[in-house]
Amino acid sequence: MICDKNRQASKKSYNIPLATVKTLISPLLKQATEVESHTLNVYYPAPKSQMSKAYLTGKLFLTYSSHMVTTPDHEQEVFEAISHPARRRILDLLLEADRSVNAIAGHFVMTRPAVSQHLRVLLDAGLVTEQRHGRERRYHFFPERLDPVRDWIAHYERFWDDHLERLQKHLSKRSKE
Amino acid sequence: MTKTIRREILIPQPREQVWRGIADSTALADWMFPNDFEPRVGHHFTFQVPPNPKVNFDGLTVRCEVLECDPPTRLAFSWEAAGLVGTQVSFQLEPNAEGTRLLFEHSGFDVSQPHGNQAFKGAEYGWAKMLGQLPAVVTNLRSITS
Repeated sequence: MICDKNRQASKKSYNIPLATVKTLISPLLKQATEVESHTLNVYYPAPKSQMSKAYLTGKLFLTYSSHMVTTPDHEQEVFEAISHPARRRILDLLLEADRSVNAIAGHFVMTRPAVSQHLRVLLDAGLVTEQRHGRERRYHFFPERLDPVRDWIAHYERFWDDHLERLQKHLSKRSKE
Repeated sequence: MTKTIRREILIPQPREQVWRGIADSTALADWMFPNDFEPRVGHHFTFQVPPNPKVNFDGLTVRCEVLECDPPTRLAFSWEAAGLVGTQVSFQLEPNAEGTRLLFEHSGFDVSQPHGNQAFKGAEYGWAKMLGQLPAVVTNLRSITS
């Protein structure tokens, strides 16, 4: 059973530019013709299904996986989560296998409570979840939730694609002069 | 762990002409942003990305220093904006039967070590702001182009 206390039933409202909302949800809007509002209500993942639900002020109702909805707040959490070397090391360990806090602490000089604090940051950023196995809790890492890191580069890729296209236009304009 | 964006484009113009498109302040203002670029190593300059209230984007300054300037072959400069530090942009021009082959690189995106705590200090230069701004920059650009 997946136990994900900190993300249960949390609901947040964000003011996101309409263009961004359209970009985020465009793959999901096959049936909708127009997005009329730019308030996006995001429900964080229901723990078991790893799915989240979002709707646009009642006009549309959408269901999609949690990591597709990224907001600056959430992105900052992800970047902060991986900014500490100990937390990156924890993610490396969890990539090999699900582990308990004691098993993780065995790889560090720091105390168990310190490890727990780092795990809390990773939980809050949604990168790991807690799973109960008998009396102990094990932590599971979802690497795909690092998508904001990949998307960060993707923004710049689009940025340069646009600008290099402009450079080409600039040059062809000049060669005609 | 750093990542690099690479692009290769073929341009049907001679290398000298492409060089004037990338190593000239007026030309850069046309396809990039207003700037005070000068083609000499060590020169510090900025690109001023204009604000766009329509998408809640309040503008951005990109700080650069010319690192290499070897006409008409190679231009490289550092690139720092908001939370992004320690990256470099380079243009390599090679003559080609049809004109010029342009090899573009933007390197130094450190995804595993986001520049220590530096990137997180202060609201103005936070990652969140950077992340929030880039789509706006691109949108801004599209609205100018279209």
